[in-house]
Amino acid sequence: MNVSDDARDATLDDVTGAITAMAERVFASLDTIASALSSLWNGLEDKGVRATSEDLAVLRDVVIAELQHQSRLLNGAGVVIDEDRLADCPRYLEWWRPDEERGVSQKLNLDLNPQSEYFYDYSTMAWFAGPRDQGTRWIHGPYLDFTCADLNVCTFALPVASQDGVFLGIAGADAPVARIDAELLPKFQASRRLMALVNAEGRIIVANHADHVAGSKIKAHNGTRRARAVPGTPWTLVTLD
Amino acid sequence: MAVEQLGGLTALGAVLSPLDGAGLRTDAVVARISAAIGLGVITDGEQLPSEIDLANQLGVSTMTLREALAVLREQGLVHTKRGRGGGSFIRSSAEAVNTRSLARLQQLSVEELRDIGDEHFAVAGGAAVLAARRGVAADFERLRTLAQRLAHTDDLVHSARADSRYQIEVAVCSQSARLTRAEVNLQAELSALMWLSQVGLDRKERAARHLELSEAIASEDELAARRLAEERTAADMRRLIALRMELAGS
Repeated sequence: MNVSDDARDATLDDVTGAITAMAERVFASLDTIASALSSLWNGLEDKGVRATSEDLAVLRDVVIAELQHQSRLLNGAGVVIDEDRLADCPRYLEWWRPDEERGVSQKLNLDLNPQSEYFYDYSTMAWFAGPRDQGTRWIHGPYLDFTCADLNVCTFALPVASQDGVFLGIAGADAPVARIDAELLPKFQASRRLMALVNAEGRIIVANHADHVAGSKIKAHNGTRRARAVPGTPWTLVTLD
Repeated sequence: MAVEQLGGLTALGAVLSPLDGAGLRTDAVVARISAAIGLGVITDGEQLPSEIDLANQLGVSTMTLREALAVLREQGLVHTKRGRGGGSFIRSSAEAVNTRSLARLQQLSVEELRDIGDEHFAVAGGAAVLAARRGVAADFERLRTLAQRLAHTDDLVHSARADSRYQIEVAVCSQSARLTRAEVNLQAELSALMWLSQVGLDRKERAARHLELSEAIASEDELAARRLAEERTAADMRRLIALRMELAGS
């Protein structure tokens, strides 16, 4: 490896560092939301009370504070509760979205009726099933979430467990691809390299090459392309030049 | 719950979003609500939001909404209970849907039908190409599941819903929010017409076609995906136009 290769790798390090930092910021917010849920849950358990959906209403302020904190990146966040954990309803989510027009956050309400054609069965969705089954944090997408955000988004999720280690649900947040792009594209450009940020399935999240735009697919390990894993994410940064 | 559930569906909720432009507002409201019933965005027995809320959601006066609800009652798609626990409830019986859709088909001219078909040809063909180009493993699995589900539906209302759901999901796999919205709007117009008993669609045969398209998409065969989607939309429109012509003679 010669000096110029070293310099090129250093540039890639800067970019992967920026991507990791962005993801860590989101997960830090999710940590805050997850802690609020688990301490609320543990408090009720200690009193011998089974939680209801109404008990979760107090999470609103925590979620909205994090949304304000991350307003440039996130367009929704909250908790999604595992089936049959609450005393009063089988499925429940406390998810908030900032409404820029009205200046207040709106609670998201989805079709949670299993009889319905458009039943939002989150128990089968990767961003919920992944953290539930593997106990790890998760980034799903980009995907077109047409029953929810109606945008191409990445969903970040963190599993939440009770003090006895029972899975309660996830703390999650949606980052629209356009906002991830707004944050990362300037850094890609500053690197003076052509590159694409790609998810584990080969779908592009951000790129600075007009032939490779968000939503399209690319083979990460193709011939001479240099690719490196982005720490803390399931993503890969691929060079295109 | 009804208000909340409607509020949760955005691209789909476009079916119940504010109407734009002038024209026959009552007719437009009737069309939107019956489309929402047809697609399964609102389901049988479900209560509609209060008149004030629904009028706000659709961006029309409560007067216009009341007129529309009266039409829907007449068509048997909505019934209203008075007093405590009262309100307007959805009744999506196969018979009421069929009667309403047959009337709707007769309102459309052959030329209008052809034009809706032209738009669907472009949207479905384009969505299929992009789905083949951009889809990932989880998408292919979802498409197969939805295609198989159509084969196992047991009445025309549910077949119509499963069929439109499949076609919307192909658009979702294209990763294009605009194409998806266009497909939702087209399904809102076409789905109940396609599943008129007089059209005579066979759910097993159609599910097999959807599976074939799913396989083309999964094997990233853009040309085959386009061809299959275009052929299906063209054949669909041919059937509808044939029925429309037949009705003109009766």
